[in-house]
Amino acid sequence: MQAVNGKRIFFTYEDDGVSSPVLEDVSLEIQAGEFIAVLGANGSGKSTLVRLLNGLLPLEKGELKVWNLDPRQESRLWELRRLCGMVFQNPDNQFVSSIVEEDVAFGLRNYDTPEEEIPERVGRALSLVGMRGYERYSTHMLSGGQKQRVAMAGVLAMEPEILIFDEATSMLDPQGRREVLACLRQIHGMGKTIVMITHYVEEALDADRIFLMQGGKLRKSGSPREILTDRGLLAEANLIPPLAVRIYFDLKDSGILLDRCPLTKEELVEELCRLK
Amino acid sequence: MSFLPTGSYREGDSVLHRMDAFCKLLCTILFLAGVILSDSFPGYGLAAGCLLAVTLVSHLGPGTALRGVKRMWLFFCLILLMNTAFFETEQIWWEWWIFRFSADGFFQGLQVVLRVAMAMVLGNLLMSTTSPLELAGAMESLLYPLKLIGVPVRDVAMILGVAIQFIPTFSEEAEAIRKAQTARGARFESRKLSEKAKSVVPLVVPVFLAAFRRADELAMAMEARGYRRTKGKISKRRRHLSRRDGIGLLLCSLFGAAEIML
Repeated sequence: MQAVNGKRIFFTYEDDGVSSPVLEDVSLEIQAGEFIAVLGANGSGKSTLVRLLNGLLPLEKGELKVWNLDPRQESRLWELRRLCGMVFQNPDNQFVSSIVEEDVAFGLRNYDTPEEEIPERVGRALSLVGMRGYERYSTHMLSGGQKQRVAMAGVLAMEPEILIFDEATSMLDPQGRREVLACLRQIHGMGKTIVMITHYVEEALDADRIFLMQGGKLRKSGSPREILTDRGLLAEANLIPPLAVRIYFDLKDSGILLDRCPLTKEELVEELCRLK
Repeated sequence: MSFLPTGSYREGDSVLHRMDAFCKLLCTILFLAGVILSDSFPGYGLAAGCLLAVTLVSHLGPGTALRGVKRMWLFFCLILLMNTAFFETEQIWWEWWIFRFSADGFFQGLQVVLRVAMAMVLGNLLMSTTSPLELAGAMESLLYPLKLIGVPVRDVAMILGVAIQFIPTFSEEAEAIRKAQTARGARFESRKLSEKAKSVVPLVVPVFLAAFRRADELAMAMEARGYRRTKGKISKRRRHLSRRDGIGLLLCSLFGAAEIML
């Protein structure tokens, strides 16, 4: 089943009569259960693209179907938002209540979930992100990673099919990032479709496919190996390749050629050991 | 991990925590009305005694109840000084230039200070024992009659609830901006009023900008989780008023009546 199917999408921001095109002729397909990483420099149109997916921005031109729903259909917009959950960058700006369980239940109450069902679903969502036991905690008392996991639970409680992470790790410390990424992998393991926007190329290594955005266009889509080992392509998109790839090219420039371009630290070690 | 900011909900199992939010809000309004209506020092004494009792019942401790009040000392001093120096009365202690210092003015100022301080303690107690969404739900119920004349009660209550919750965040943000400005040479500690006023401008602008940015992001996050302006209620729980809620309301009504008589 196709989770997302978009054809020839255009989007322009209007500000005081000045229009600035943000997305130009973007076509994309995402299969259900896929893990997609969207990479691109600031202003490349990543956030605009994902905000079109769950109808937070109105689709102007083009065709878009998300879980067979059209975001332009006002009557089904709320169903679309339930199916396509979104976690934002700053966890502090997503909390409606400062009590963990109240905040996680916010979406459920918006969708008229029976009151007697709510505690169980809140508990299940918190268990999924490893935050069971924190129900009555104040969000002010949590670390950055824990806050973002609570924000994830708030979305997971609505049982979405697609989860969008809009730079959800960019404000976290390394430990917080690790925690959030571990949850993300676990959620993907449950068969959910994941769309993750990130600046950190290393975070895209686990993805099934990468969408590389540049200047409002989908420059290229492909496997992590295809995209992240293309030094020229990443440089044009103002991105820095993963460490292992950089070392591979540095070695190559010094005349040392490895059998293949490694993507991860482990692959690099393996290749270097083979050199002996 | 960090400390809970002033005005944040504190987990607990006291009678006050277990009271229905709507009843607690009504009790707060009744208590506040009693404090405002009172104009004698025995009345203020009774109010202070009752507040102390409520603080003890809430298990929060005087430190939490008085939080924020201590920071207002400069404002309180100013109120006291203004009233003492400008109150219109026949019996004057001392007169100099445009200032007419009087005992009546001093006591008038003291009354204002006591009312504001008690209102702040009440607010602290209410917010520390009621979770933000319960409070928003209670406000929605309280404002419900206005819905009949077309007031968007749910939105108003939600805005108030979220705004209350964000007060500590904004004060933290203002403090962070103040430190950043101090590091770049701003002089907030200056004794000169003109310099103090000038230094506030670069603090207010970024705080407001940050507030607008936060509001924008929060609105988007709420929409993404299915919040609709036109549909539903903030709290769908049916209100079950218990005996303790009834006793609370009765005691606050008695307090209000006693304040009028005193």
